[in-house]
Amino acid sequence: MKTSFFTLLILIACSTIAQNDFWERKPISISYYGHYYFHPGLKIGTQYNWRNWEKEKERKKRTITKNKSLFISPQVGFYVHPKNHNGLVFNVDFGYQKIKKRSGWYQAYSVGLASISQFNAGTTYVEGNDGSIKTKNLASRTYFMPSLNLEIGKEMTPGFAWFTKFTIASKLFYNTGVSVETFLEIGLKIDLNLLSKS
Amino acid sequence: MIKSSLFNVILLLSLLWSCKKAPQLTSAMEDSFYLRNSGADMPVFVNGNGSSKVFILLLHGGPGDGGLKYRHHEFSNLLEEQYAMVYWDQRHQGDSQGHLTESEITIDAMVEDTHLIIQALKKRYGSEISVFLMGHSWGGLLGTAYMLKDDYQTEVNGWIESGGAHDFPLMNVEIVKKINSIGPAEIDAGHHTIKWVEILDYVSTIDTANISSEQASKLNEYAGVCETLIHELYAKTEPDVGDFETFFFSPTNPLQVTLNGNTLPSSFYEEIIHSSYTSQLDKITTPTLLLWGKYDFKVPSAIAERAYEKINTAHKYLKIYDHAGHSSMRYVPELFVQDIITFVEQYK
Repeated sequence: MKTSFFTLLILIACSTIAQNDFWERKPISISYYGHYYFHPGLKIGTQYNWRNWEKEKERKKRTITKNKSLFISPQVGFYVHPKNHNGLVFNVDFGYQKIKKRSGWYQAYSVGLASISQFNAGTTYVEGNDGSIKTKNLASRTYFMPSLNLEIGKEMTPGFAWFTKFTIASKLFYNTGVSVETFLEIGLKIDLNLLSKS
Repeated sequence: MIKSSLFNVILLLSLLWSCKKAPQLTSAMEDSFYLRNSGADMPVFVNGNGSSKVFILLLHGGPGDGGLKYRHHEFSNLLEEQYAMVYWDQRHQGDSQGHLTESEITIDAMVEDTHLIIQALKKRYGSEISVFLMGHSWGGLLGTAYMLKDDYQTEVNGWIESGGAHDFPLMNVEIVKKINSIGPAEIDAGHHTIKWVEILDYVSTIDTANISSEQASKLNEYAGVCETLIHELYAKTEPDVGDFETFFFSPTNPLQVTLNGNTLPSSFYEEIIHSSYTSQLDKITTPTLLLWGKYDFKVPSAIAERAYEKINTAHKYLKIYDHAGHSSMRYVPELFVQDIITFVEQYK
């Protein structure tokens, strides 16, 4: 039920993107994806800027220009918590980003909605209908996991940036309550369109 | 293209998953598996000397602790040298996960989990292994409930109970008696006089024939305090693994363990505080070892003495350690382990 809801959400997000045809920039991100920082994983994603605008601020010596945007970022991640579980995450972030045009530094704040499938590490035993013990392959449970994200990065050259992203999240309907999760991402964003132009 | 690559990656991961080695009974086992039952997925960690073919299934305390909280202590290190220790996170505790309702968090559900874990151990490591059940504090209540259900006790070679809270109503009465028996002597000796007076004053207000849930909770809190006021108790051992390592690099997640333990439903606690098994203990005919601390204020040794009288086997043993509190294994680890080894070697 929750998975269906999440799938619907992704479809709505994708259809919105298609209808508005808003994208010039579609950077591909690839990052180390650390559950509790040290449970290693990998995440890939992309970003669609939904709205872009520019803002200038006058300072004493110079004018600071910031590019701001609202974005949607679908991602897929996988991590391993050794001897505990392996997590497969499908995630969509909805966020706000501001980039200092001169230096390339940027910050992004986003809210994420994710589906996380938690695969038990090792064999899982279950009771069969006849009361005997049987093994179950790839036993997993799926949870809905909203998150809050803070991302900092820098565009090094047009179409190429590094970033680090800190996430706190919570699996809902976990046992009888919620869980507390935190993730750290360190990775690269590559804007294929801009790279090919340069 | 992307879809097919993603599919290939998932397929490769699935294949890697399916290529797991069969567990080996070595002298330094590091194994783990899960049990799924009634809405819960519960991790089980097996560490130690599997070549002994003796498995000690540890029922952790709390409720709300986790199995691995008992690992990396002196007592568990010593036991792992001899036997395979089985650390299990009970449902809604430790790192267990699942979609649970309050009605699925009951003593009986956990008894069934215990039964299935023993079945899983025998399926995984062979039906010829010996299994001993060891319960501490709340785990003592759970283990007792297991021993009393159907013919489950025939599945284990022996039952080891340490500071087990298998009779809450009786336990509360005994806490009052214990405080009244030791408190005045401590005051006379000039030890923590102000605190003992406070505790004795509170205890004097309690009608032991009618102890409320609130009073029971306060008594439990004071019982914990009393233990810290006793001069004879010292050299309490701590785990030999640091917090940082546990938090980030262990198979467990201490933050989640705390959260799971603190959000157990109140209906479960209500069930526990009304649980009283003393009158049924004569149904236990399996070899039993009771290990208690003289200064256990939380579950006073009178509970163990009563159990020792009732348990219906000649193969029963009671040890009360002079320099131990509620967690005997941490106060007198060497004595504690030696008594277990003697017991296990006799009945394995």
